[in-house]
Amino acid sequence: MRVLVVEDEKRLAENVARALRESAGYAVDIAGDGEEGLYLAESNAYDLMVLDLMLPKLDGQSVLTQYRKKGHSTPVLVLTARDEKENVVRLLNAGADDYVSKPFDLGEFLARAKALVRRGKGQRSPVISVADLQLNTIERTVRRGQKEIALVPMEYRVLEYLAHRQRAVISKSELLEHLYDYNWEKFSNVIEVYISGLRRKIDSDYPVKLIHTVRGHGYVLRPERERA
Amino acid sequence: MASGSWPQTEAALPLPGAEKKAQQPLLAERAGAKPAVKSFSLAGRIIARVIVCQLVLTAALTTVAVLYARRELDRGFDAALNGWAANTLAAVRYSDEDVSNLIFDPSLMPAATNRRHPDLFEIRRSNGELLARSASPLPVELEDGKTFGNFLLNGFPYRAIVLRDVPVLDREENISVPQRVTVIYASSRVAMREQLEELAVSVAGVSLLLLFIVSAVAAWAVRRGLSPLREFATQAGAISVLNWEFRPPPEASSARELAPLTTAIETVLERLRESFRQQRDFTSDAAHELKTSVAIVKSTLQTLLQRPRPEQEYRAGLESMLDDCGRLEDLLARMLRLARIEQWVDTGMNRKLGVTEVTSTCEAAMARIQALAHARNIRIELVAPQEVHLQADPEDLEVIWVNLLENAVQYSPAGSKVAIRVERNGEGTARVSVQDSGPGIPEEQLPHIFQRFYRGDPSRSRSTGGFGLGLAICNAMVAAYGGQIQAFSGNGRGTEVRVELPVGSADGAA
Repeated sequence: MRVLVVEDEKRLAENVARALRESAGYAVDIAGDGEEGLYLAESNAYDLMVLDLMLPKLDGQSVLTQYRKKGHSTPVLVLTARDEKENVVRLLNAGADDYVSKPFDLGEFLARAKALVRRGKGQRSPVISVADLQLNTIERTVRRGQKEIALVPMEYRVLEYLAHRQRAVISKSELLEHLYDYNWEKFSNVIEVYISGLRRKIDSDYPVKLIHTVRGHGYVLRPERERA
Repeated sequence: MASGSWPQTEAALPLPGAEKKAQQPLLAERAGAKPAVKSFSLAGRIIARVIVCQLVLTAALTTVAVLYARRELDRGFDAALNGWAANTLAAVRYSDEDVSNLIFDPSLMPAATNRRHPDLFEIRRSNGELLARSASPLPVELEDGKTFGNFLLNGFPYRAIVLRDVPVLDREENISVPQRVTVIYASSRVAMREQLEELAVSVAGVSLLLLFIVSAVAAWAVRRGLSPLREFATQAGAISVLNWEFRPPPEASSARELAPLTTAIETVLERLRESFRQQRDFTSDAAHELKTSVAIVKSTLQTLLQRPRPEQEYRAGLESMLDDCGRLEDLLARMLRLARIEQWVDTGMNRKLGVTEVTSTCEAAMARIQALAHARNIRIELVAPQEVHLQADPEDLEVIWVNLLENAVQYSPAGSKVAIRVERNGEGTARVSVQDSGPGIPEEQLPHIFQRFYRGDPSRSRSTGGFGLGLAICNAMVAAYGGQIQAFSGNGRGTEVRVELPVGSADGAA
């Protein structure tokens, strides 16, 4: 998952980004002002935008309005110091999905961020199941049947993305775009490494294969028998 | 453009105005002591006055009517008395047997009209001998020379007429020298008095009835006439912090008497609303700054606690939090200082100010900024052709210069120069201007730069650690001293901030 943090207070942005990276395993981009934020949001595929309201150049409310006007549906979590009712109402009406007011609790912030990412993928439960494969997105654990499977962080992130969009064919570039920040192009050939690692850990010991390659298109996560 | 911040500078300056606090309760007391005024109703008062006026009018009218009627009645009575006396005289005739003898023939007298208070009469011969009289005698003698006289009989008023030495004429006999008699005739005035009383009572009664009706109409009319005032008061009473609207009814706003009040209320409301809005903006901005600062510290702490980390990460986190705390401290110091100076603006300074030499305060401010200027390789040039003295606290002046210089240094490109000029400005003012070589301030931002928390380009002032309070502090301080602060900027030619302060009683010392 890839998150855009638009926050001009550098230290706060770094802390938020660090928490998202460490505790949720998301790739995070940071924008220091509204214009940059809007530009990044429109030119990249994000799974969540974290938006501060008081921003240089273009304020958060305008970023939100313009972003939604162009039809983007990425969930937006607003950071606000003004939690008066009318302000919150205005924000939600402008297309925000949720908000936390400063100074916020990092744990609550992360929980809300994860919930928004889940909902953005049409997934309500924090535990995603594909056949007998289960991903717990809170604990970031994977089990198949009764067996717990240990994954390296990048393998988990690839699997989580595929699981969130199960049954859909995901191209390698989409995976890259959602799993890495700005410099994803240079990681282009690592995806195959993680896919093969995942296949070895998840599929090799089981008769029903879950990870499939669609030649020329990408990868898909689904139970084998549905293939026909 | 906004203030730059430089925590060390700000923290090092003592906060002036601490002595101000002690005076607050006194002030509040004075404001709270309101003389108790008994309330009254304007309409009631007007109605009462109208009624009093009408009462006086009614009384006057009744009196005049009664007096007039009495005079007329008196005249009529006198004429009647005369007639009755003549009738009595007519009952005197010469005796058939003795022409020289006069006799009184009572059968010729008209029947008595008033049995309770019968008329009285006397007829005397010219020699004073009584010829005839009524059943009751006249109780009084009439003085000579008077035609009319009043007396009381059994407590009832009577009026008498005297016809002196009137000749007795005879219809049949031709008497060459008629004999003369004196006729006194008195009649009760009780009936007339009663008539007069009746008249007075009826006039007064009608007047009172009219008074009652007119008063009722007046009360209604006054209340109705004052209804715009009542509506006005209701509307004015509805003004509150939540409702700044004042909509006087059209009749009230077009009433000439209320027009000054309407205008005054609207003006005051507008100013109040504006200052209230500013206050709310200030609170909101201040809350944003404070919450963000706390959010940074909190998120740093929570990030550090999320998992075990190597020692240097903890150390780096703690160091950054110390930085953040310094920033928070700086913000608080500035906010408090601004609040105190603004209190001076509102309530006056109330302190004894010595005479200060301006150039020395500029030098002190330059010394404080020197490190920052040096780091940015900027030269600060002081131009002070003459000594200028002001009645001021040197620390207050330094606060202004430090903030202006800090801004100038932060917005000037490295290697450039900042000039601070001190001069006497003719009419009893000192002028200090700070000129930078920065990019200037766009014209549309110039009116706002002295507002609290205003940042023309927030990203820049954030990066330099500013809060947008420096110029607001300067503005408040200058206002507290009764001076003026203005900024001039043409894009690309840098910015000049000009401060003009009245020299006060230091005038002679210069």
